[in-house]
Amino acid sequence: MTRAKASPLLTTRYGIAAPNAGDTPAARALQLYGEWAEQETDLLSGVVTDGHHVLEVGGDHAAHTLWLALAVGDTGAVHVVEPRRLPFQQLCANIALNQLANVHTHHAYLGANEGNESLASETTRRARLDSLALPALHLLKVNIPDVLEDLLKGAGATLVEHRPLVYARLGGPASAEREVDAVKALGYRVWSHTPALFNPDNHAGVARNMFPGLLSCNIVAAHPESGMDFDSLTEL
Amino acid sequence: MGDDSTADEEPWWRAQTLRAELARLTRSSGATRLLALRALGSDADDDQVPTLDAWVDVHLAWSTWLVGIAAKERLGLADQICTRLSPIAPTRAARRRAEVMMRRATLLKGEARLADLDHAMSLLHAAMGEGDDPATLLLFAECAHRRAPLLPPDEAAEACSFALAHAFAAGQHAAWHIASLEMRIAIQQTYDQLTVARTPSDITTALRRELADARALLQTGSA
Repeated sequence: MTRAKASPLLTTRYGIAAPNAGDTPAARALQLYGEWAEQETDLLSGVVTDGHHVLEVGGDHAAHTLWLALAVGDTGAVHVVEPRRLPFQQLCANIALNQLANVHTHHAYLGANEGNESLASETTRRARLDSLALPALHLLKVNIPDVLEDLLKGAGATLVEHRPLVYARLGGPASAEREVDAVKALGYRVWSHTPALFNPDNHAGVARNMFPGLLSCNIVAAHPESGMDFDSLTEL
Repeated sequence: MGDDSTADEEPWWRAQTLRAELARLTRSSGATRLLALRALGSDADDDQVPTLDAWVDVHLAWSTWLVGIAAKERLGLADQICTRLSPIAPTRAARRRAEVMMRRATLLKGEARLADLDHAMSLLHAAMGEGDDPATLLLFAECAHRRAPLLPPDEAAEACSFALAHAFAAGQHAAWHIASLEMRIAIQQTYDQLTVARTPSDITTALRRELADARALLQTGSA
């Protein structure tokens, strides 16, 4: 086994991160810009506050976890569920490097039922979101495309009890309509949020745009009981 | 400057520091701004008028960056500070609470919005007293103007007249002249929409010209 040459730690907008050789957009953005999808956190900064409980599905190298952990503070909690083994280890490394005591990591795939899930030729535990039995939940942030429908099937009790805001990346043309309908079927209002992947005011001050013209197709959804209303966005 | 005067001025300096930091972080992105707002610390140990007043500014500004319940909760904190301000500066507290109510009204619709604006009007009456503080006069104008679209046409026109009178009065103070003109133009436009039979008012055109002159004067510093 060969080991990649060690690189220094990355200084990102909200903390330090271990370098990784991944070629995902998040990994490349953290490496070059010191941040990833910053406009998502900008929107969420209007709803997340001290003491909130947040669940992230998909670690994205803790790019947003670092901010969420600071935003909810010592009285809040951030749970991150990452189904893929190596990204899970990277996530844990970055949580540990930043000494975030209010972050809880879970190596699992969140789906409709309990069992096993095959991902990238490895088997991962499959669990229902309801089985986490979270004492509170203000925000459910789904970073992995194409998992939302399955995830919601195992999250009914939690969503009814806590009515969290849902922020999710849509899967694509083949699944977007079904995903939006699945959220609406829970009584939620849904808005489109399409932030550009490149932030000209990025943390590293890099002018090069390696995501030219690319937008992220996301939704933000709120239950009427939550009192949330995103007038500036397009309701779906 | 003696030790006593320095100690007396401490709340004033702390208030200025809070406001300067608030102005700085206003330019940050949302996520960074939230952390900077948290870094301002707590109002728990502040009990003087200048600092409590500055904390109302912080919470009012903070609420504008929040959505829904989070914004209402932040305004709740601003209201609590007004309660602490009330025994030591009742007039100031009434005016600040009116601002909180006006901000809360923007988060509501229909009758609920009107109720908060009505509450703000009553607080502004209490804040006004015998004086003619231009800031309060302008708040009066803004509050009345915001009530107008929520009222039946006759009452709306009356609210606009009330708003215009108070905006005009505020403009008699030189430092408030431009803000007064901006407010009068906005009110006049609302009034013109109410009276649809009339052509767009010449008054608005005249006010725009006066505003342009006032801004030019401010930039050049000479007539």
